[in-house]
Amino acid sequence: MMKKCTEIEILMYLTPDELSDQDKVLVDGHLTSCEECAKKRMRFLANRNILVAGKVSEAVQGQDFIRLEELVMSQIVPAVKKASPVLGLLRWTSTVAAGLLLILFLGEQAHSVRKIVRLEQTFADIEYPETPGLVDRWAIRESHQVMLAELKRSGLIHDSITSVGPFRLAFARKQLTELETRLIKNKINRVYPDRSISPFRNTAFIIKTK
Amino acid sequence: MNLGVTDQVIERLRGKDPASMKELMLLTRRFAWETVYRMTRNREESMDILQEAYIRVWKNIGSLDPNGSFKYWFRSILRNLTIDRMRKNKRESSVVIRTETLPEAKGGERGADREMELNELMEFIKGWIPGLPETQQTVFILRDIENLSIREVIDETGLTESSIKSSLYIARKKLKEDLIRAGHA
Repeated sequence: MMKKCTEIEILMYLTPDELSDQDKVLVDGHLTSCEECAKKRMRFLANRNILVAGKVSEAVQGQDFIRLEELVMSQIVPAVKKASPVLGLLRWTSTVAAGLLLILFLGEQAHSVRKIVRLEQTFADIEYPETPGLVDRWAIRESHQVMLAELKRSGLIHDSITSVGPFRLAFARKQLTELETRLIKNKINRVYPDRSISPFRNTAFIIKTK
Repeated sequence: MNLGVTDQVIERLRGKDPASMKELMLLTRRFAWETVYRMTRNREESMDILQEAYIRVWKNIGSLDPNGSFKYWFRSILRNLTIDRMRKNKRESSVVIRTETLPEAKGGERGADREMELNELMEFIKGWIPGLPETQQTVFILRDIENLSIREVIDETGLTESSIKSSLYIARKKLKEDLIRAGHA
């Protein structure tokens, strides 16, 4: 017996491969005697065929997948750096450490600058022999002793070496900053412009600074 | 089943190895492009969606069930992004993205007519799909646009066969009615 249109409506919207054998018989039986439903079904199947038969594989040709890769990678690679908690922690730690070092460095620099200014003032008052001769070493040393005494008195240094061996001299050098060393050399060179005299070769000079 | 994407590649993706992303793209880009292009019929738009999809894979690979199928998971990302784009395009009526007319089919004039018909239909469907409930959307796209078999739709969605057929019926009937209303059929 032929089913009514409404009774098989749901089947009309299913494709042949979606219908069971029993349902196929029902649909075919209805369509042979219902022209309207046959038209509807033809239209439905035609539309569906159009949809699923689109030439997608042809369109894929010539796609710039290299560009796609570049775009994707450019967005995920910075994300890798951000995503790593270990790297993030290291970065944070190193930033903090750098900040602390900078503070320490600036503090130390400020301290050194203050110390140098005071050393300059102290050195300015120290007199060196006008004409050092064969006894240069002793003369300079004597002047340095005067200077050391002055420095000690001013509290800028708290120790000194008067008798030096190579080891203690090397140790002494390490106690001076590069700026302080340059300052001392300049002072000696100003006093003895025609001679090359190293404070470290001639005397122990300053040993430990505060 | 998994587009050649091995567990090893997935693991490396989880470990945020950028080289694994390149490998993944090489293995899946054709599949991804075809999946998206079937719905958009627009090259530029498809490429935008692919870019977004791969970035989403990169960010959310951790949410992929270790026992689940990468292909299904990836396809759902592609589908959702495409639907989002369709919805956005529909909302922003000033931005009209036209489907492309592909080179004439080998079938000559008949092929060209068919292509034009497809483009018109897709133009309508792009605006129509976002209006469907989620299950109908998914089932309709998988079955009638991506042309998967009922068995594949079951595997991918986890729905029962009767539920899939019921969703298809409702969506197809609605499409027919809406096409008539819009003067397309």
